[in-house]
Amino acid sequence: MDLNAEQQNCLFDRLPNEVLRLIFRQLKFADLLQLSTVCHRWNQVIFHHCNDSILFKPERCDNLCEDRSYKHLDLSVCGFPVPSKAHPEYWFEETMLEKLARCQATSVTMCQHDAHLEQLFRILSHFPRIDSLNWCICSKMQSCTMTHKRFLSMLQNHMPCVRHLSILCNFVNSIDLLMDLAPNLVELHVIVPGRLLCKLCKCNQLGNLQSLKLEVDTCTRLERLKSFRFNEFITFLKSLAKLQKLSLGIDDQALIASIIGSGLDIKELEITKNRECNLGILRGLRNLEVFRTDSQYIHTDKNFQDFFRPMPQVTVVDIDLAVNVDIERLALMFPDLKVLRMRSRLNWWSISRELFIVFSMLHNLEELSLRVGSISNGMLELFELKNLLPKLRKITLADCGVEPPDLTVLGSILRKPTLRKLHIESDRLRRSPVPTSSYIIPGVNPVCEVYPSQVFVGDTFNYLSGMTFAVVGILGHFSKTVLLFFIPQIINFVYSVPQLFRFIPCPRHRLPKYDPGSDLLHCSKTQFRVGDLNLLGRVCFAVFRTLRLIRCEESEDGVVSCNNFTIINFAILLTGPIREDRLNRLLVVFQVVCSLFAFAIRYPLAHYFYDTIN
Amino acid sequence: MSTIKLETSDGVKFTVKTQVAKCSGTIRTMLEDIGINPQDGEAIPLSNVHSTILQKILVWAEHHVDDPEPPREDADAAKRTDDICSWDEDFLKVDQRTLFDVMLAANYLDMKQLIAVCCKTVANMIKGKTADQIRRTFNIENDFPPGEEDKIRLRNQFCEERSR
Repeated sequence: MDLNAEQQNCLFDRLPNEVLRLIFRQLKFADLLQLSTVCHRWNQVIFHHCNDSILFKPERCDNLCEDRSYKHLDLSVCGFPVPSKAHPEYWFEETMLEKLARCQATSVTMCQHDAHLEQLFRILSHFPRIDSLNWCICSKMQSCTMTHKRFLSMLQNHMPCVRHLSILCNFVNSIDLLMDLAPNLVELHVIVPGRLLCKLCKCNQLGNLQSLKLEVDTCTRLERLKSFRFNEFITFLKSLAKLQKLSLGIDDQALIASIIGSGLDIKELEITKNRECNLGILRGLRNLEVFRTDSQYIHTDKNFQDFFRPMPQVTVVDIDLAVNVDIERLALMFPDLKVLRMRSRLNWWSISRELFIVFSMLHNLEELSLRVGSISNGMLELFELKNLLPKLRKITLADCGVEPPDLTVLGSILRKPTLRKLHIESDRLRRSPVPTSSYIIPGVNPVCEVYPSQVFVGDTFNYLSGMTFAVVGILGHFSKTVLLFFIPQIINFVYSVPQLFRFIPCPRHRLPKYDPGSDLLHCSKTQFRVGDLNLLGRVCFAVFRTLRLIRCEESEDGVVSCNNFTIINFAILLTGPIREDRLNRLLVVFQVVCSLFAFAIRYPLAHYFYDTIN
Repeated sequence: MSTIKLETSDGVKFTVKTQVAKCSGTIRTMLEDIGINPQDGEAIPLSNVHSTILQKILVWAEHHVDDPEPPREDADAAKRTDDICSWDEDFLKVDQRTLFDVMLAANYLDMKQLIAVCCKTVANMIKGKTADQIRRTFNIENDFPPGEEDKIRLRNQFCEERSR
């Protein structure tokens, strides 16, 4: 290298960070570690910008909480290094811990896989106002019991107000933590291995608990476990005086049946981790309102007389994953359902039209969630739905093959005065550019634009406002009227058709061209040869030309250049080059005239255009 | 075949085929969005690029003008640095200064494939060296405060153990 040192010095300095990052992306992890010690800038770039490939990032915690407070803090993204005698600097420095404490989080999530418990306790003890704690530590590195006890007492002093706890009790230590926090707990989600279940049962301080979610993680059947005593468990559940919500994740039908049969007084019940579920067992629960399960097979009573003992107290049934449901029996059993979520995997929709006759038994239904195959199969049934369920407020249609154009049809079919929310989940919609995952009627904010505009209204805004108008029109029973106010837009669409469907070449932008010299707008042009057009294109071109809707010039080598087919260009065509504000005024006047025309149709002339007048 | 004119920072004007010039994302956007008309005879100013560098880049663009669009990168593909084609390898056998200038210009002109090739070349130069060697090769100043470097190294040791 014959360059002198000074010149060389600036080689890397001149590269912007993004190029530096591109280079670093090509390198392996081990190389990056080397590079991080080269100089300060490289270190920063590697650790702050490439951290998707770096496991170790306590720096992230460092970025927190300088000048704002975090309500929910998820520390599971931070990899905590393991301190040891050799590297004591891995302990968090007190300044950082103080910073954490200042951020006043009330909800903390910690889900480390191999972290040092003592260290986590230390961090935890710095959140004084923590209300909700998600403690999913499956740490193999246990600290010694002595220090652990010390920290537990520290925690007790610091965290009297944890009320919502989610905890993974893989080790005795975690149960100890749970015991310490028990008196204040209102909501508890605990994942516990079978062998530790008895230890949990001994906890008698959970008097304030209102919601218990219990997942038992076991590979052997519970009754075979020596340490597990059935009666103890039921006594434990009965001792929870304030319990209202119970969720059981136990893969043991007999056990569940006897738990439920033991006369618990709960309002919500969830059964998970079971393949099958028998609804008959619910009869013991006199106050049950909400039932939820993720079982695939749902059985109803085998006994015939039981049909005449319905459970009107149940208002919510959520059987999301069930594949085969006898819907008629379900309706007989729960006659007063308000919410039914039944995303059956089968495409039963098209098969059973009587299904909706069954729905007619559920008069009180307010929310319905279905998984449907194809809308076109269910059009008729959907139409019935409209008349059958008078109180329906929300419909969710999952997995349906709805294309964006179908939505208009769907919207007009589902016109119901009570319907407030229509939620559609579909893969095809997700791929479409229009954000349509949820249809809610928003308050329409009138938006005005005045020249010279201060903001650029992007595509998304245009889509959104258009969608809002459309949805308001459809759900508010005045789609025709809304359409009336879009006369200029419709004219523009018809005029644009040859370019929109590419009969005539369409450039990327068709807005008028600005000439800075004269401050005037000119038509923007498209260029093509008539010979290159297909038949439709030639027909369109000839028609538009004879009607004088376009102005075009043909050069001697056969290239035609003509204005783009938009209403704005057409306006310029009529007026000649024009200033932007005057053009804007012209278009607004046109819009106003068209709207007046629309009003005329809607009110004085309504007799001729509308069947009913209100 | 239509051509356009490009003007570099030192005032040299190049006449280039439009197709070749469109290898550059920047020029492509200028032509399509801003509506600079190539037939006007007006040159597009490239104020960040020197004529010697642009000449070199044009040679590259001329050679790669018919290349298909690169497939979208995924994380694994980015790790390979030995897939530079031999023509590019010869093309980038230049002194470091020119290489970095080309890289900067390519970044300015938004030529993704050229940047990728340059980055791979530089990555190959860096690969497998210790921090000290890298500092000497590229003449980078060690600007860590005293003691900081050792701290980082200690931390890295821990990372290395974990990544294995």
